[in-house]
Amino acid sequence: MNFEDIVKTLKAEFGETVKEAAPGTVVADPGEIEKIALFCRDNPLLDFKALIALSGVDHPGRIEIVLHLASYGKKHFLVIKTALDRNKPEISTLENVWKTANWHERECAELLGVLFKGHSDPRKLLLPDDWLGYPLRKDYVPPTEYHGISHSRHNPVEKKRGAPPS
Amino acid sequence: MIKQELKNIDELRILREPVEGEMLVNMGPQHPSTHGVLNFLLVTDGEVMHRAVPHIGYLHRGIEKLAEQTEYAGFMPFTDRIDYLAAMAANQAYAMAVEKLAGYVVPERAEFLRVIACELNRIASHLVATGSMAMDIGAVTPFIHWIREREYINEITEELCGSRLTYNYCRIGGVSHDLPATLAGKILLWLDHFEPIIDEFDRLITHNEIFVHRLADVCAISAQNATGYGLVGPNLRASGVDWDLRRDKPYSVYDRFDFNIVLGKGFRGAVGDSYDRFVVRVLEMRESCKILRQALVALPAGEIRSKVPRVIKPPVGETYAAVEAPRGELGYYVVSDGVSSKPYRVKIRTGSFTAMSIIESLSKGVMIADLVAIIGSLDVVAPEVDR
Repeated sequence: MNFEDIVKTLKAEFGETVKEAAPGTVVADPGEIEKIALFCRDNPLLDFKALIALSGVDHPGRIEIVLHLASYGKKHFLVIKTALDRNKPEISTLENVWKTANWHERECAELLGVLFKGHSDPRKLLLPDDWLGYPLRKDYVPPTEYHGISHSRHNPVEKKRGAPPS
Repeated sequence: MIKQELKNIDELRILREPVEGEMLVNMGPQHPSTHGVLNFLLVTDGEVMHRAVPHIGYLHRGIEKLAEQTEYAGFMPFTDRIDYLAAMAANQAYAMAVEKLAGYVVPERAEFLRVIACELNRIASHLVATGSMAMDIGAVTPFIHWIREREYINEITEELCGSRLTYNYCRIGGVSHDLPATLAGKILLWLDHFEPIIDEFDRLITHNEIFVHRLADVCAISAQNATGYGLVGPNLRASGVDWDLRRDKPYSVYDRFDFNIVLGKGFRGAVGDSYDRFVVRVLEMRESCKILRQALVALPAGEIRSKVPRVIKPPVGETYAAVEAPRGELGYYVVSDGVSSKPYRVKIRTGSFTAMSIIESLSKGVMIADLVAIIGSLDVVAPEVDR
């Protein structure tokens, strides 16, 4: 199935909540994302049984969630994008659609501060449990120390400026 | 603060209600059979696991954040560190993503050299995967044999690009070094030596009845579960899903080679069990040998790198490029803002990350000793999980 047919199938079901963007990419309404995802998985023509990656991107004013889908049977691909409000990024979880979304969402949540509503396991995945801030946001300021361990250290070999030659 | 600390009450509550006779055991983070630093919290009655909760993140180095602070070309050495056993595939996927984004053409000879390097690397990686899996289960000898073979590959790559582990071989628009004049002959000589060694390995361990009985029917993954959990590469194919990016989404020059996609057929047990995952890897090494032979014969003359500006500034846009790495699909989602010489965002999709996520659901009702077999058979590499 080529991209035009995929878009047609999606538009027939969801109307204007799905828009065609770049080639291979559609932009979806964040409120409808769970329904669209379920439709993509279960429609026999689309057959997107695999979620390849779920990424978050911090754009000015919005946080984009990007889903890369693949169908192993039909051998076609689709990218679904959805934009969330940067001040209050919330989206419903997709772990009931693709099980792999569970870990992808946990990673996205801790690194970009996106709240996945209804997620069964909202613990941190990669970062320590007491980590503050969302490292992949553009305005993130890295800490200078962690529990008293400094992140920088002076070079013991390099001489201080102005020190006499030995 | 420290993740594996058991006194964290919330953690315990999430795990499960305590039951008479149950205990919590830490496996790792420093455990010889966990393939790197990762920790499992086991809920067990002493022998059978009720649940194994993986704790990852010990090797999280924030590679995606580093990418945003490094220029496009300068990020290449970091990609080596994503998966140290298959650095070549990570190199290639990143180079492909940036080339696609900026519209650079790669010379044909460079594409062939990438294929040769990647297939050598695939063999090297599968050698460690199968060897260490056998070792985890108790057969030490095959691992020693495989490490000897891997040493020859290390010598070849050292002659090719100067490195034995973190190659940094691909450049955006080509590769760093041409194939030395004598090396093609050496690789062919090594292949003549190596293919009979696989037969020897089969006699030694693959068809060893004790080994087969230890792994057959252990933790079979259905095709539906494998797809749903996002397993990729040999793990996916062992479950019978016919999918290989080299054939189904051809990149580089893979469409010119004749090779088979190895699928798990339930060689000695159920389809998708641990033994299938082992055998698929052994058979894939033979296919890689086939590709190598064809690539070395068909290697064209010409440039190894196209003219690429010193500072790379791709136009506004985004792309996703993926290769079939030894641990399955390794993809980069790269976003460019069009003004900066640094990527706006790089997301790395790795095979081990998703392979790790299935372990919790597999672990229910499995013996603790079989957890080692699961980790080994899924071929999880910790730095690739954590990135």
